[in-house]
Amino acid sequence: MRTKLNSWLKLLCVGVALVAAGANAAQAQPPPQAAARLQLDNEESLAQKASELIDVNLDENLLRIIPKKIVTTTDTGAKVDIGKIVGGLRGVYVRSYGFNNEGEYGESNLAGVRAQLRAPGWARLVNIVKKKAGDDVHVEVYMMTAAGRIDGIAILALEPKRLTLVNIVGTIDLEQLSQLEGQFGIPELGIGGDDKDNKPAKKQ
Amino acid sequence: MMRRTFISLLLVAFVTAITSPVAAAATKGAEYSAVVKLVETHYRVKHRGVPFVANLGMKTAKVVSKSARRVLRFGDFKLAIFEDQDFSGRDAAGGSLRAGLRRTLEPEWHPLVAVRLEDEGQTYTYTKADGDKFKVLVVVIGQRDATVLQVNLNPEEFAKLLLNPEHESREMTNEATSVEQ
Repeated sequence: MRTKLNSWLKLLCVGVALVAAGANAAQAQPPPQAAARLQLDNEESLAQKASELIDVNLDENLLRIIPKKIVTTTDTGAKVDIGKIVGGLRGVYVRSYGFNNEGEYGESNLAGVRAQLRAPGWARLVNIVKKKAGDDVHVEVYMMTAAGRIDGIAILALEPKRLTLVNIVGTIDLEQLSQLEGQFGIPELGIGGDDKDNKPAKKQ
Repeated sequence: MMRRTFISLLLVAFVTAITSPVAAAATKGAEYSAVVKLVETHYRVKHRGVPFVANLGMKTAKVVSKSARRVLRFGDFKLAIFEDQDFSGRDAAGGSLRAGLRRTLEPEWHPLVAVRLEDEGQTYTYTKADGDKFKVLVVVIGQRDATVLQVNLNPEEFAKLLLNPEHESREMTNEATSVEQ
């Protein structure tokens, strides 16, 4: 009787171990599009130095709460089907640092982000200079693709006294990106619009 | 031997299952109080608490009829007001307040938005799922005034906050603290 009980207990333990191993293996698999999520918090030193800061974090769990049928109106009166765009997103992350003086941030502060954008799958789509309040704004837009699908977008907007980093994880195109400007803390960068002030940036 | 181990494991699982909700209930609301305390110690100021139900009819509360209606839709909420005190002297950059909020609230609470603007002060909004509702904790620090507000939002109100986190955070705080004209 005792031997039989021990055998059952052994079997139960093996079963539990197998289920746990299966669960761990499933957890070890990164979710699709996870590679498009950039680590932006390496720039904490900038947050300390900046006189102004905007830091927005919308992960997938939060985005799922937004109703599928929600339409918003932009400043120009255009209707935007936000629910449809958000349906394909897995995360929206914004960091914007404002400084009192020019030269308070430099390329060294961008090294971490640029290194991530050199990873396989990322490609620069847009590199333009825009005029904003008389200052040049260098806007770079990167897109990550994998197996023919868009997995995410990254935007670097460099102004003399402001640096903005945007990372959108999920399926989105440039037109949808332009419609998201002004939502979720994403600044108005004029991406995708027919702006005559846009001009290609010089090759670096 | 194996049987004894199995029974012990069952006992541990049982004790964990029954004590977790107790522990959670014991700490309910603790984060709000901890954040109010954090603002007090960080800026060396004192708050005026406004427990909504207790103070609605009292003149001391700034939360009054019309402006309170929308807040009422948020359900149970907590509000601490810091009036006419100095929030500029210490750590004007606000970096360490942000770090303090992180230590106090994360990872249980999600940092939705942190904004620090020279003209408008600082706004920090944290969220946490709570059944079919969402707890939202908003800290707004101005030059002379500050508020700590915790509300429960339904999914529709919460979605509105997500679409425009900074603006809606300030709107909620303004509505909770503005006096009816």
